[in-house]
Amino acid sequence: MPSMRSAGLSIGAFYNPHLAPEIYAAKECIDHLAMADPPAAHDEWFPRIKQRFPLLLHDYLGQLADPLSAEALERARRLQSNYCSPWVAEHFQCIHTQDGSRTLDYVLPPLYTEDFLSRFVANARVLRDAVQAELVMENIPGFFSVDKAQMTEAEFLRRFFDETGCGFLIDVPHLWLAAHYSGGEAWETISKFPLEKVVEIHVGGVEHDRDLGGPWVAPSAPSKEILDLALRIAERAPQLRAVTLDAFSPSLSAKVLVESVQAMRQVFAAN
Amino acid sequence: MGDRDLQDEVIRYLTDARLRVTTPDALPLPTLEAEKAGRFAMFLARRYYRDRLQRSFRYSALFAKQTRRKAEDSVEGDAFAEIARDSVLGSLNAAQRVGQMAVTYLTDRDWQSTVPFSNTGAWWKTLLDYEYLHFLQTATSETAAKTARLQQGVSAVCNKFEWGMPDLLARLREGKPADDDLRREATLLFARTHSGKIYVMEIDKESEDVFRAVDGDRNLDEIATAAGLGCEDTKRILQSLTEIGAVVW
Repeated sequence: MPSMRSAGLSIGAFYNPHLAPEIYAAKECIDHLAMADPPAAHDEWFPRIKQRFPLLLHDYLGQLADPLSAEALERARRLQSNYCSPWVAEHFQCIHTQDGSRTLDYVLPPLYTEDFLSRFVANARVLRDAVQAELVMENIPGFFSVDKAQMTEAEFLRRFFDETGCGFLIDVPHLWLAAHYSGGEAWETISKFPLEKVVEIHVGGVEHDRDLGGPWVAPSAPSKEILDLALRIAERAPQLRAVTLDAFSPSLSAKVLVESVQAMRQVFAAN
Repeated sequence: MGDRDLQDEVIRYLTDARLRVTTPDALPLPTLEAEKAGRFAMFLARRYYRDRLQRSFRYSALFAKQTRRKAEDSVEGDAFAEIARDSVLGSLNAAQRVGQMAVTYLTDRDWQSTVPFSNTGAWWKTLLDYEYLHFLQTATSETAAKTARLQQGVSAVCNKFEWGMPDLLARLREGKPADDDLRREATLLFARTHSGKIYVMEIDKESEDVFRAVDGDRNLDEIATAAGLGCEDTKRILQSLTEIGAVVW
């Protein structure tokens, strides 16, 4: 099982099974792969993928707003045992009701309150202990506000990282969107976050969505602006180890994936 | 109301269009934020059903060059918007309506009268029936309220086909002709577990009879009697059906 680079930044992408042959062919360009789903039983390429690329566990393990069930923790352990990921990722999200009767099947941030902070801190520790690996947490964009927050998103995350010692997986498009929809400037928004805790950076595309009436994350190439923001974050992130193209969709093309990773390599190599 | 319960109300508001229509102040949102929440809800719905139509109607998609349409494209139209405006995300009812909309879209000869359209084979309608029933499993996250008696899973369904579906699907995957040699009766059971794993399996007459005998009111003896089987055989079959989510408590 290959390991992440011990020196220098690892530049990678998400494993998109429908692009397995092209991803394998680009193995000199892609350093690591993030796994959003477990490998399908019929995925004939996965054994070769696993042999060639270090893997990052980035599956839905559970929402840390609630205690994880024994089954969820066991599933997380099994996945980690399969991937031997140097760190395991989850999200600052709360997407299904406590009784399980409703789920959004998509990311939604929690209310940034003391109660939710306590919940995330407690459940993050349990998950980290279960997988026996560093836990990194990813920021999630909100599109509307319920106006019940007791603190800003940046403060919520800072306090979480201070209390748990977990790492920060900073998603640049998510923060770009937060700035856009609040009428703020992207770097001014990003600079308020604890960049010194960043272990991994996500970059990706944003495109206009007809339902939202504005930009939203899309499985497309990151813009120059997104890459420049990522670079500025990297300069302030002494713990940074990886930059990952956050694009996972059946509509993603090999061309976009490979060209995006090449662009990422150019930006970070030149600096 | 505690923070966690409030988050639950936000999730319900986003997933239940009826709340947004009949009880617009179900959430303490200023007008602008409520309007944004409504748009986010439509975004979620379109994304959710597009994804599941893509997954479940993947065999008919193999013929997109001939039909000039794929099931997931149907969510871009007005018919879908109308469904999304008064349905609950993940409900069986919404899955049935969206699934039927997709099947209509794939078989509607009047969609573009200038474009020649022909069924790709005598099995086309059967294939769409199969994909529709599979879609009910992928698109229904609704769970049944727990009861004291066994009941059928919310989306579980048993259907007779006139084609040997496993063989038909294999031929289509391989790009080989699907001829009349594949015609045979096959009874398939479609089900989904609580964790979302989908099962489609060919079942025998005994299993079909037991499944159909489960109605939420009968106990084990009554199910066995209705199915015309002994208790031990019924229990064994019920155990298998429970494991795949076809019957639940």
